[in-house]
Amino acid sequence: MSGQTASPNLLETQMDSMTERSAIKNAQRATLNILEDFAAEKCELQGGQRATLNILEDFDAEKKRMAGAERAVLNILEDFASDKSQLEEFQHSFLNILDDFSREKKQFESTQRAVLNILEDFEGEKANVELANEQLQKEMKDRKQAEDAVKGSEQRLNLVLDSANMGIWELNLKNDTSIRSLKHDQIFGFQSLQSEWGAEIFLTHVVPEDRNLVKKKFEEAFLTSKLYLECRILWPDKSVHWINALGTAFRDGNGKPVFMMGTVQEITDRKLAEDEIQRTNRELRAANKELEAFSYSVSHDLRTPLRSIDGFSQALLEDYANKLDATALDHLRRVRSAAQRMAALIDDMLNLSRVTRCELHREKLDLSAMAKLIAAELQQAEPGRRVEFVIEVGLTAVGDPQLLRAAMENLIHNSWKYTSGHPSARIEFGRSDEKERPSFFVRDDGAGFDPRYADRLFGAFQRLHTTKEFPGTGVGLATVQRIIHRHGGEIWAEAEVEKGATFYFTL
Amino acid sequence: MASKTILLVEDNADDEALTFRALMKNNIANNLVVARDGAEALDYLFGTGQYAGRDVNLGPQVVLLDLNLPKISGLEVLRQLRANERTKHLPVVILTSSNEEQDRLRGYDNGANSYVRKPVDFNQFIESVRQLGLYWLILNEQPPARR
Repeated sequence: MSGQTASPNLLETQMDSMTERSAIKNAQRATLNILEDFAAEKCELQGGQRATLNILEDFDAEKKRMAGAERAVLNILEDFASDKSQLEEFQHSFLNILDDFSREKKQFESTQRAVLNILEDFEGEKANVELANEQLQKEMKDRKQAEDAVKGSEQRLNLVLDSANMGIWELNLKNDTSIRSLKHDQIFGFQSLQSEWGAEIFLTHVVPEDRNLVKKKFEEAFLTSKLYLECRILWPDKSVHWINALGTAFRDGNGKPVFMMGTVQEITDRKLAEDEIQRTNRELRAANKELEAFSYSVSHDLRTPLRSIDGFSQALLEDYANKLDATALDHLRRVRSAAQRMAALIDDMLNLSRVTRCELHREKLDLSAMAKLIAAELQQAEPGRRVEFVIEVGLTAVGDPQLLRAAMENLIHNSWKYTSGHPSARIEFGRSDEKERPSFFVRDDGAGFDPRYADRLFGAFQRLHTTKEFPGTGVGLATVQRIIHRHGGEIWAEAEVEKGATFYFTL
Repeated sequence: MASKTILLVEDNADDEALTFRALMKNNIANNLVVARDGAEALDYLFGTGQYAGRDVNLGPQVVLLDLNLPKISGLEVLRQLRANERTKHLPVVILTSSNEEQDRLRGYDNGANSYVRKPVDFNQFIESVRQLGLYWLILNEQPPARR
């Protein structure tokens, strides 16, 4: 309708009537409506067009996508193809590998067999080794035991060394150095182990007067391999101590001493005690000498006047018997008898003191023979007496022949004396095993003694009978007791009055 | 036969008297010479000092010698006797109180012929002297005299 843009004025042209105008208006409205619809349709169409365009666009896009996908698929196919060829390559190499593997497997199998053989051998060796191991274990156990024992010994040694206050030292003679225990250095007056030590240093600790002796002893030790010395040392605090050192030298293949080891010990106490003993011994010897001189004087000088007393009394008795009455004669007799008794006492006292003083010589003695001799002498001296001797044969002892002879004489003479009151007598000498201790005995069946006074029996000058009954000084048994005691034995007696006495003794 | 002389060397007057008495009792007191100390004994035996000029060939038959003497001891007398060529065989009897072992040993060591202990009991003494006299003067053969 071109008439659209017709100006409204046309329409408006002259006034028709209103019906033309209305018809036009209606037509207008209808045209408008058609325009509207057309516009709407256009819009729709445009919309549709747009939609189609969109669809076409989408389709284009899709087509592009499809193309892309196609390309992608083609790519994939290409990749796949290359992959496949790669795979085929892999397959080839894999097959190669399998071949190699198969070869390897065969090699491996042969190796395996070899290994099995080796394993078998190994089993055998293992058994041997196990056996050896067992032995080794046992040896180790033994060794451990030995080590323990050594450790134990070492501990005991250390204990002993400690309680003996002994230090140990080991001296290297080549370079004059030494290894020592702490105790060693302590013995030299140091609190702790010194850093340096050797024979030269040791010598500086020895007091100057003893150094020559020590040097000599070392020289001796090199010859004899044994060192023993006692010397004085000076402590750092200037005190003097006595030590003794023992050692053994060890030599190399050429016999040259290369090192020495030994012990050292402080002996100051012992030395002081020794000195004391020596001093006491000297005093004792001096006292003994004095005693001997005294005894000598006693034996000689006291006897001479006694002889005069006896001699001149006798002279009186003989020469003036007719001028002396019975009383005078009796007086003189008593004087003589007293003098003689005093002489006997002197002799016995001398014997007693000699027994204590003299040296004991030990010999094997036949006591039976001794007893027989004494018995024979007695019987010869007094053949008138009827005495039966019963002497056990083969009794021996070890002791001093002189002293034991004196003791036996004393006992048997006693028996002889104390049986003199009986018409006949029996004197025995034998060995008794009663009282757990084997002992010798001399028995007689004579006067015996009262056992109540037995404790006085062995006292010097003690008697249980008067001189009138039986002569004697009372020193005999004291002497016998002293002799027996010097031999380390004991003596005791049993008796009953008039039923005899038995004297037992051990040696 | 030369007279039999006994030389008694004894310092104690009592012992001298008793010995003389004992010898007398045994009838052998005839020629008893007494020297009262060691020096006198040696003078007599060697013919010196107070016995100078004595004919020493008329020497004693036997010497009874005590040990404890003043001036010169009995042992010293013995030693000198034994050291002298002429008197070394002269019989010497040591007659002494002591019975100590060392005295006996020294006596014999120095050449004594005999050792007798003087008993206290006089009767025993007489008996000892009798036996001594009997032996040394009668039984024993003297050593030949030296020229």
